[in-house]
Formats: sequence, C-alpha cells, structure tokens
Amino acid sequence: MNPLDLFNHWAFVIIMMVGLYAIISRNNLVKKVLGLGLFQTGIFLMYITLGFKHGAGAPILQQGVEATYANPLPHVLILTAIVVSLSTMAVALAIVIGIREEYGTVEADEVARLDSEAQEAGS
Amino acid sequence: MSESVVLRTVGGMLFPYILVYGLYVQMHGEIGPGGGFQAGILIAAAFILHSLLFSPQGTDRLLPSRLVDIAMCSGVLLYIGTGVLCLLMGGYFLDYSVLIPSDPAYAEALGMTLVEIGVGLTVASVILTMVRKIRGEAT
Amino acid sequence: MNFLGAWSHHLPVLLVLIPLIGAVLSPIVARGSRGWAWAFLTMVATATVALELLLRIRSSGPISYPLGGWNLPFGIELYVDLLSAIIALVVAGVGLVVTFYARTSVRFEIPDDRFGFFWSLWLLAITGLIGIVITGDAFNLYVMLEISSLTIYGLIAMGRMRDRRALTAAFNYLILGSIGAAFILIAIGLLYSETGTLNMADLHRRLGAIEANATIRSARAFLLAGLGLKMALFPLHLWMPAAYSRAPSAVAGLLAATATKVGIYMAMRFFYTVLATDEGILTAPNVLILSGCAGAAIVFGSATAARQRSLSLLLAFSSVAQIGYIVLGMAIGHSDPTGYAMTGSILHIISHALMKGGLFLCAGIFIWRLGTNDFDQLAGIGRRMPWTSAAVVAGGLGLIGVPGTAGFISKLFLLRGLFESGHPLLAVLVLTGSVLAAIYTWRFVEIAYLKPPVENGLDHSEAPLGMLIPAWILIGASLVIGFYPGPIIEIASEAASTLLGGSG
Repeated sequence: MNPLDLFNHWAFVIIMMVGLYAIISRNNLVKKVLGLGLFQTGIFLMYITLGFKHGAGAPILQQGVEATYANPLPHVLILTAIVVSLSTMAVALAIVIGIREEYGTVEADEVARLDSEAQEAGS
Repeated sequence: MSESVVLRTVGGMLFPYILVYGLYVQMHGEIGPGGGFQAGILIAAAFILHSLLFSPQGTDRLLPSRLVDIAMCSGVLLYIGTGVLCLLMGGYFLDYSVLIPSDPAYAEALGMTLVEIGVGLTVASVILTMVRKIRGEAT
Repeated sequence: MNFLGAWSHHLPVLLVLIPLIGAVLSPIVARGSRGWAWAFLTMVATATVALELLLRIRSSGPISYPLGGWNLPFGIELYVDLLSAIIALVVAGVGLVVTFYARTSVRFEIPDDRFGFFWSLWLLAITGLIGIVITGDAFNLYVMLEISSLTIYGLIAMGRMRDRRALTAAFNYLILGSIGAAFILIAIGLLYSETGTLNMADLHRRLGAIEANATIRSARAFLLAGLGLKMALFPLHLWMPAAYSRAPSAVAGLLAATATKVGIYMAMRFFYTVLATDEGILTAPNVLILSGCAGAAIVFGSATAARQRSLSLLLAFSSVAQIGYIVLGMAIGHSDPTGYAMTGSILHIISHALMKGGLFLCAGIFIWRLGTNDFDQLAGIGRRMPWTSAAVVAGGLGLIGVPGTAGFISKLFLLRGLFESGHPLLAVLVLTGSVLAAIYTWRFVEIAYLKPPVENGLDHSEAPLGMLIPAWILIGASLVIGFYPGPIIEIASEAASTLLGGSG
C-alpha cells in the first residue's frame, strides 16, 4: 500500500500532535489556547476525510442527473464541532483576560509564582 | 479606528453590501449552500468592519448592546418556539411538516427558514458580543 | 400521578426544553434579583418532569423520541431508559435543592451585574447535563457534553471574586476538559467511519456484527482516556480539586453532585450498550485499566484527603476516591453474574450525589460565615454552628459507610459484587478506603468539637435557614435512604439488570 494513500490521516495526526505539544510546552496561556485550537482543527480534518470521495460533488440532487456526491453528514457534524471549538476559544480567551486583569501577566509560571507567594504570605 | 480616507470610504460603501449578501446567504440557505451560521458570521463581520473603520461608540449607537443581547436570546427562542409550535400542532419536536397540514412540503421549507433565521440572529449577535467583550468595552 | 396528561408523550424533549427556555429567557425577563426566582421556578418544573418520566418508565418501559419526526436511525433520537431516568432525576433534583441554596450564597460571591448571566449559565449547565443523559445519539451526546462543559468553565471562573485562583482552576479544567472531549469526538468519528451510523442502538447492532479491528480498538482507547478525564478518574483527576475548592460554593455543590456522575453515566452507556459485543462487554485490558485506576483512586484519594488543610480540598480529594468506588463497580460489573456490583455502582452514584452535594453546601456555609474553610479557622466550630457541623459529620459517616447511611447500602452491594465475582483483593481496597474515610472524617470532628474555639472577631452564629435547609435536605435524604433502602435498591437493581442485559 502506498503510504501517501493515508496522507490526510498522517496530516491530521501531525496537526493534532503539534497542537498538543504547544499546549504542554508553551508557558504563555494565549499560546496554550492556540495549541488547543490547532488540536481541534486536526480532528476537523479527520472528519472531513471521512466524508471525502474521489470526483464527488455537493450532495444536491437534480432530476435526471446522475451524479456521485460526497457524504454530507461528516461536514454537518464538523460544522457543529467548529462552532463548539470557536466557543471554547472564546471562553478560554475570556478566562485569560480575567487572569491578566487579576495577575497582570499571562505567563503560567508567573501566575503560579504569584499564587505560591500569596499562600506563603497568608499562612 | 482608521485614519485612512480610502479605507473609510471603501469600507463605508462595502458595509451595506456585506449586510445584503449576508441576508442573501440567509434566505438562500435551505435550497443551496448557505444558511444561518454563514449568514450570521457575514452580518457580524459587517458590523465588526464598521467598528474598526469608524469608532466603536458609533457602532454602539447603530446597534446598542442591549439590542444585541435581546437578539441573541430571541434567536434561540425562535428556534425553540418553532419546535414547540410543532409540538402544539400535534407533531414531534421540530417536525415541521405538521405546521401546514394541507401542504407538508411547503411547511418543511417554512419551518426550516424560521429555524435558520433564529440561528442567524443568534450567531451574529454572539459573534458581536464576543468581539466586544474581548475588546473590553461591554460590561 | 399523570398530571401532564396529553404531554406525557413528549416528556423526554420537555426535560431538555424547560431548562433551555429558562436559560435563554433569564437575561431578558429576570434581571437583577428576580433571576433566582426564575431559575428556581424552572428547576421546579424540570424536576417535576424528571420525576414523572421516571415513574412512567418504571410502569411502561423505555421511551424513544424521534426529534423532528425523522425515521430512526437517521434522525436524532432521545432515548430514556431506567438508568438515564435515574441520573436525570438526580441531576434535576439535586439541581433544584442547590438552586434553593444558591439564592443566599450567590449574593456575596458573584457581582450584582452578573446575576442575569449567572442564572443563564447555571440553567444551561443543567440543560447540558440532562441532555447527555437522555440522548440516544452519539454526536448529540458530544454536543451536549460541550454545552455543559463550557458553561461549567464559566461558572467556575465566576469564583474569581472570592478567590482569584478560580481563574487558573477554570483555565486548567478548560484545557484538560477540551482535550478529553476531543478524544471522545475522535472516538465517535472512528465508530462512525466503521459503521456509518451515529445512533447508539444502531451502533451497538452494527458493531456486534463485525469483528473488532484496529479502528474499533482505537475508538475504545480514545473513549477510555476521554471519559476518564471527564469523570476525573485517577490519575486524570488533576483538574478537579482546584476547580471544586475555588468555584463559587453553590457551583461546587452542583458539580460535585452531578458533573462527574454524568461522566460515569457516559462510560456506562458507551461500554455497556454501545460497544458491548459478543466477545465481551469490556475487554480484559479495559477491565484491568479501569479497576486498577479505580483501586488506586480509592487509596490515593482517601489518603490525600486526610492530609488536606481545608474542608473544600478534603471533600474534593474524597470525591476522587468515591468516583473510584463507582468505577470499580462498573468495571467488574459484567463479570458478576448476580449484578450486585453494578447495582452498588448505581446506588453509589445516587448516594454520593446526595452526600457530597450536601457536604459541599456545608463547606460553602463555612466560607459564607468565615470567608474560608481552612481547618485552623474552623477550630471549635462545632459548638458555634452546631447544625452545620452536625451535617458535615452525618455526611462524613455516609462517606465511611456506617450502617444507617446511604453510603453503607451502596458499599454493601459493591462488596458483595466483588466477592461474588472473585475479586477479594479489590474488596480489601474498598475496606481500606473506608478506614481512611474514617480518618479524615475524624479530623473534622477533632477540629470542630475537641479544639478550643479561635477568637478572630468574626461572627460565628449559625447560618441562615436559606442555606442550612438545602444542605440538610441532601444529607437527610441520604440518611432516609440509609434507613429505608428498599425502593431505591429495587430501582437500581432493575436499572443494573437492563444495563447488563446489553439492551440498547
């Protein structure tokens, strides 16, 4: 089997892993959110690949015209998932804005340092 | 807010056309590519363009944030309301065909259009609210 | 008790619609302080429908509801069987009691101008949780999961007024929760690519007809990881203690009682009705991983809980352990022909929701009175706030599993199941967990009753009834179940046998 047959699958796994790596390794909270976005985009590509068919068009049937069409369901599903991902990003950014207002920084290690200092001062 | 005369003039001319295109995508949605999601984004984009080119306060006067909040809720209500209307007419939730018993096919189209308008309203106002909140203007 | 008459056919969809409509309308019709009354009314209606639904399903079997009247399996189906109805009633019932409590607690934890949105998010979270439970469509489940998760992240972040670390807790939960949900999405996609359907009953049928291949096995693995994150199964529980201890106290009560339970429900649904095939409901490695994690959760969670410095953190780590009990029952449920383990698992979902919900409400009362519930501030509190402290002790006894509490009944079933299916080693773990629970409950007793009171100039009088009554309703309900367990056991074992029968 030609490994390029599964090109899309390789691509979505690589995109997902790049996103996951960004979430784990970046210290900046905004970059973590971007990594999460990339991670979810990889999954969209997977669903789109599921619905793909060579030489197929949009699934709009016309009387008397025989046409091959792509499976529309994965596209519909992924439209929903895109909206979900958009909302996740919005909530995440809103929380980051809140963190920035309260702590004055969006670096994860700075936030952790300020928290542990506050705890030591409190006890 | 942009100082460039070219941007402001061209942007101002584009604003109504983007709105109209958004409405076209909205109404064309149930028989072709398009629909509430895409239309909502286009309409929101028109207002975002407006607020980038002119002052955000000007956009607020054009479209008060209270109105956006109400549009957000009423969009969902239109969606649910259509569904509940189907319930009241004796069908399942969102079973549009019972809306007009004499012409179920037309009723399907009607129900779908109503639901899509609800989706469009909600998406447009949610996107606008998100942009406003992230810019830190709205309460 | 059929007071909904002609609408009874539409009960499943009403259960989602009522809180959804309430959530959408609350920013419009109920600005300011009226928001609570609106949310409370909505929850009364929701809980009524949930109760009616449970009664109907007991008398006439599972209900399937095709949305939009589309033929199954092509349309989206709502499918409510006994297990879903039980969990839906737990969510709606505990939600109702906690909403009652939230009236007082929210007023000092949330800024006034956020009330409208708070109640909107609150009702949306409950909509999502109920939606997960009653849907019969795999993708619909994902959407509902995201609705509940996103609103819960927002609700936790609203704790920032009391403790700014609520924001970081919400952020960490958001990242981990989204990864978990994304794993579930991948699994659903893989199952769809293998079978071409999203309807759970249809998925079950078609998966039964094909050999397990790499796609299905990886879908299983993704589900295991994703659901583990969502139900906070050790070692994927890292988001939970911070989120529970820093969220507004009403939110903590709601989450502890319902959110992780719904995660466990999803695991039961996927592993026992969707993925169940002839070669075994859970494959051997699945059982090993699940019961291993559950056993570790019991010991680790209880031991860590005993070392915490504040009541909220103690309760959160104890939740890690209690989730271990529930998952343990689920993991070995299929190898136990008598069904005791599964019954114990379902019973523990109910009793833990009541006990832990009530305990978190008590922890919130201490925060309301003292601004904190660190143990050094709670010294001698037993004499000053006798009712609240008594509620904590009663709940703690339930966590240990003392006879006469709901925790005893569920642990008894769990232990019987473990012995019947030949896992005496795991039964020892369950007993170890109880001993550790006794240690952390004793810590509270020692601090609250045996230490001299601290003088810090704060008002130490008893909490207002608006907070005390809901806490005692939940704790009291768990005691009532402990003394009259008959009907609950009957319902739970019926649900367990439906689940184990693999009917989907």
